[in-house]
Amino acid sequence: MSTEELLLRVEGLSVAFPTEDGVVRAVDGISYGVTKGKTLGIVGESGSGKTVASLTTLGLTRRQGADIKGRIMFEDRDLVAMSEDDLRKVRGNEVAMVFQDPLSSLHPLYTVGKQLVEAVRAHRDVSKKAARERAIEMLGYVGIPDPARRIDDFPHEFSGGMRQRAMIAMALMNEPRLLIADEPTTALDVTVQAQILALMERLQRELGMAIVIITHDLGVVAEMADDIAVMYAGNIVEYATAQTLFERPEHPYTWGLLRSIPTIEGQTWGSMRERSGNVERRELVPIQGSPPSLISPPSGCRFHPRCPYAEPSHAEIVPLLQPVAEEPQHVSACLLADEYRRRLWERLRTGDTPAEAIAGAGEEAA
Amino acid sequence: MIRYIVRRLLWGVVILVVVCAITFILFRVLPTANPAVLRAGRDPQPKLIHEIEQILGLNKPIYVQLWEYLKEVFFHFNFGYSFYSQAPVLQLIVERLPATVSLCVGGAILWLGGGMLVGIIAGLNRGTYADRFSMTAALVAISAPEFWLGLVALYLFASDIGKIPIFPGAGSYVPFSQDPSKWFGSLILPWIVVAAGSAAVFARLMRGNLADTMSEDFIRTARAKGLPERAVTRQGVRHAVNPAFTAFGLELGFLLGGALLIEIVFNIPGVGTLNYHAILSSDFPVIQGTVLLAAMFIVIMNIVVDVLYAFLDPRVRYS
Amino acid sequence: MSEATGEPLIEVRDLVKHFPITRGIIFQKKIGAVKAVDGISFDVHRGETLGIVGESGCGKSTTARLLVKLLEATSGEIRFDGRDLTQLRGAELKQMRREMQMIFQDPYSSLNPRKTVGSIIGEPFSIHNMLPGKDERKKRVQDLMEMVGLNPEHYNRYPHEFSGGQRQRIGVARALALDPKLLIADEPVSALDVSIQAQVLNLLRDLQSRLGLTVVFIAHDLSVVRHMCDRVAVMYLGKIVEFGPGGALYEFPRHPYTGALLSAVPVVDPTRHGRERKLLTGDVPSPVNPPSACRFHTRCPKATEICSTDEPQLVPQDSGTTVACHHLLTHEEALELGVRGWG
Repeated sequence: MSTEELLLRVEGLSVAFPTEDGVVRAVDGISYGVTKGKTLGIVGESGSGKTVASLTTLGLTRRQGADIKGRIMFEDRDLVAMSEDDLRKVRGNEVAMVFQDPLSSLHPLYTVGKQLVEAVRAHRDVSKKAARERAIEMLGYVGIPDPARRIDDFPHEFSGGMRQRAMIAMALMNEPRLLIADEPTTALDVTVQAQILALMERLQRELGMAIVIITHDLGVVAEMADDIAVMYAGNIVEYATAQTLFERPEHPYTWGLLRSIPTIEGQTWGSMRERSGNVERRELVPIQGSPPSLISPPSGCRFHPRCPYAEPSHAEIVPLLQPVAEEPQHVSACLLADEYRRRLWERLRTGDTPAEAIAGAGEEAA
Repeated sequence: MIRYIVRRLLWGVVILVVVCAITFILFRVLPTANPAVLRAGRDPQPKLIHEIEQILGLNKPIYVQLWEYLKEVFFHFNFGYSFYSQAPVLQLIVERLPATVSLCVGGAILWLGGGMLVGIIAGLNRGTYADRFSMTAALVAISAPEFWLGLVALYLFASDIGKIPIFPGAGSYVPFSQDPSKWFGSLILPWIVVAAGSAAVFARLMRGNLADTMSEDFIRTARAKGLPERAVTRQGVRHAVNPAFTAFGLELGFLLGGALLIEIVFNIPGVGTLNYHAILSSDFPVIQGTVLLAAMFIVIMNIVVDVLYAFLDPRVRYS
Repeated sequence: MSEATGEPLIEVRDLVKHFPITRGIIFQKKIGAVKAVDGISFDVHRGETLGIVGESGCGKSTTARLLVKLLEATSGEIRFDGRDLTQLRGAELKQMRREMQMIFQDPYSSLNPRKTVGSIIGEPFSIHNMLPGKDERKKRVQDLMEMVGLNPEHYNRYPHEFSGGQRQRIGVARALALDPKLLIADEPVSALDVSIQAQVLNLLRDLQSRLGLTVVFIAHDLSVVRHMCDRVAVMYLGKIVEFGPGGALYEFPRHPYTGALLSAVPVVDPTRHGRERKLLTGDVPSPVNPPSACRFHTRCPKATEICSTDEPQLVPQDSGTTVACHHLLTHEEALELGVRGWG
C-alpha cells in the first residue's frame, strides 16, 4: 500500500448473510485501500468474498438482509453508515461499477442509448438532448465505431466486446473517481479481453480514475494492477504491490495459486519433473482439497486444512495481517515464521515439492 | 415487418376457412335433429320433409354443401338464415354485438389492469400478507366457474335480490346510446365476474415473472447506476410483462367463453344469449355464425398480439 | 510428454459442417448457412494429446462433435482407426462409439441430476449390453471411481452432492468406462475454479499415460493447452490456420492470428507491465458470411490484395509449424508482439 492519497479505505468490513442453512460469513473482517489514480487488483476464487466486498461498497447487498459491519471510507464519508438516499447519489456518480456479463447486465428491452441517458439524468439536471450527445461522445470515446447510429441499437445487436465497451461507457457517464470492475473480461474472447484491458488502462491514464479490478485471473492482475489483495474464504490473506507479490509471495495460498496455473510460456513455479540442459518441465501443483464452507469455516487459520506447511497450532490461532520482514508495505496473514517461510519459497520456486521444501527448509534451520 | 404482418393475415384467412369447414362438418356429423324436420312444423309428412331438404340443399353430397357454404360466407358474407326466425344470421349477430363488445372490452380492461396491479404488488412484496391474501383470492377466482361467480355476485350485491344491494341486478342492461350511466351501472358486476378468472391468472404470472426479474443482473446494474427504486421497479415490470403478454392471446378464448355464460346469468342481450337460444333450438346457421365470429375474433387478436409482441421485445423482431 | 508413436488414429480430410438457415413455416427455404467448419484436414497420432484452440465461432466445439458423430458432417472424411466414420451406420456405428468418448464443459448440466453417480458411470455398460451382472458392474464402476480420485463409497450419491471438480471427475469416469482409445475433452476445465483446474488437468495427464489414451483437447485457454498438449491446431472461422508441435507454435508462431492470440494473453509477470502489444481491432466476423479467401484478411495487419482472392494453403515451415498464410510472421515481428519463448 502506498502512502499517497487514499481514495477508498475499507476498514474491518464484515458481511454476513442469514440463510436457511445458517449464517454465511461471506466477508470476515477485511481492510484495504485504493489510491487515487491507481489500480487495485482483488484476486480470489469463487467463495472468496471478493464480489460481495465490492457489491457492499455500493450498498448493493443491503437488500438481501446482509449484516454489514465495519467502515468503508470514501474520502471522508462512511459508505456503510450512509443512508440509502445519500448512497444512491454516490452510485453511478462518484463510484461506478462494471459487471461480468454485459449481455445479462444490460436491460434487453431498452436501447443502449436510453440506458446511457438515464445514467446521466439520474444524477445531473440535463436535457435529454444534452444527455444523448454526451452518450454518443462516450460511446465514441470507448472505441465503438459509428456511435451516432449505434446508440439506438439494443444490447443484443452488439457483439460481446462492444457490449462491454458500452457498459464501460455507461459507467463513465458521470466521470466517476473510482471504477469497480467485477470480472470485466471473463466472458470475453482473449483478443477482445486484451482490447478491453487496454481501454481501461487508457481511461485510467487519461481520466485519472482509480480502478478496482476483481478477477480470478492472475495474468489480468499482473497486467493491470499496481497493488494486489489476495482473498481466501472471506479474508485477505496477502496484500502487496504487483511486483512484490509475484517475486516474493508470502502466503501458502498465493504459492498454491501461482504453482497451479499454467502460463503461456510454460509454467514456471511448479515442481520439477525433468530438466535437460536449459529446458525445464514442470508439474502443475494443485491446491489439495476444496474451498471451505462459509457457514462453518475452519477454525484458526482458514487455509490450514489445505496447507501443506500447516502445524497443529494453526487450527487454533487466527492469523492477522502482519507486515513481512523488511517490507512494511507487504502484509500477509500467515502464522509461519518469516525466515522459515522465505526459505520454503526459495525451495519451491526452484522446483521442490512441498515435502522436499519442508525437509530442506527445516534442515537449514538446524 | 410488413411482410410478417401480411403473412400472418394470410395464414389467418386459411385458419378461418379451416375452422369454418370443421364446424360445418361437425354439425352434419353430430346426431342432432334434422334441420328439415325442425322447419317442417308439426307432424310433418315425409314428402314435406323431403321437399324441404331439397330446398335447403341437404340432399347434396356433403362436400358440395360445404363448398357452397364457404362460398356464401367468404364471398358474400352471407351466413345463412336462422331456422327459427328466418332472419339473416349476420343481421341477428350485428344487432347483438354492441352488448357483447361492451361486456368483453370492459372485462378485458379490468382483466389487464387489475391483474397487472395485483401481480406487481404481490411480486414486489413476496411473502407478506398482501401477497398471500391476493394469491389466495386469485386461486378462488380461477377455480370457480364463471356462472357460479356470477350467481354469487348477484346473490350478494344485486340491487333487487342481493344481501348488500349496491349494483343493478340481472336484466338491467340498456344500450349505451339509450342511457350511458345506466349502461355503465348494469355492467359493473358482469365486468368483475368476467375479468376475475383471467385477471387472477395474469396476476399470478406477473407475480412470478416480476419476482424472477428483480433478481436479474440488469436490475443490479440499474441500482448500481444510482437510479431511484421507482425507476428500477419500472424497468423490472417492463421486462416481466412480456411473457405474461403472450398469455393474453391464449386467455382471450376463455374470456369469450366466460362472456357467453355471464350474458346468460345477467340476462344481457348479446351474442352469447343469442347463441344459447340457438343451441337450445338446434338453430344451426346461427350457431355456425357465432362460432365463426368467435374464431375470427380470436385469430385476429392473436395476430395483433404477435405483432405487438415484436414491438415489446426487440429480440424477436427479425425472424 | 506422452508416448506418441506417430501413426494416425484419426485422419480428417476436408471436413465441412454447414448449419443451414431456413425461412418459412411449412416450405423451408434455405437462405444461408452458418459455416461452422469449412474444410479442415488434420491427423491425430496415436497416444498424443492434440489441442485445438480458437475463439468463439472458430468451429472447435463443432469439430469435437463431428469427431464423435454427435453431428453429421456436411461433407468430408473422418477415418478412425482406418475406418470411415461418415459411412458407418447402425450397429457398426454403435460399436465404434465404444472407442471414442467425450467429456463436456459444464459439470453442472452434463450429468443427469436424477441419476445416482453409480448409475451415471454404469450407463455405458447397459447401453452396449456389457457386464450384465449387477455386482460385476458395480465393482467395475467403483474401480473407475477410484481411478479418477472419487470415493467408491459415494456410489449411491447424486450429482448435486458433489463439487464442480468432483462432477467433472464423474464425467471422466463415465467416459473411460468402456476403455476407449480416444478421449475428446471439450473445454473440460473452463467452468472450474483455478485451484481445481490443476487437479483435473493432472488427472487427465495421469490417466492418459496410464491407459495409453489419445486425447483431443479443445480449449480457448492457450496456457492450459500449452501445458497439456503435444501438438496444437489454431482455428479461425472454421479453418485451421496453423498447427504444429506446442513448443514451435508457442515460441515462434508464423500466422499473424496465432501471433495476435499469443500476444493477447495476459502474462503473469508484472515486469512486463505496459509492454508494447499490437492489438487486433474489431470483432470476429460472423460465420454466416465469412470473408473470402483467407478468412483472417479483414483484421490482419499484414493483409494485401492476394489475401482476399487467393486462399492460402497449409504449408510446413522450417520453424516447425504448418501454416496457411501468404505473409508469414518474421522472427522480428513475433518478438514485437511480445511473444516470448524459453530462450
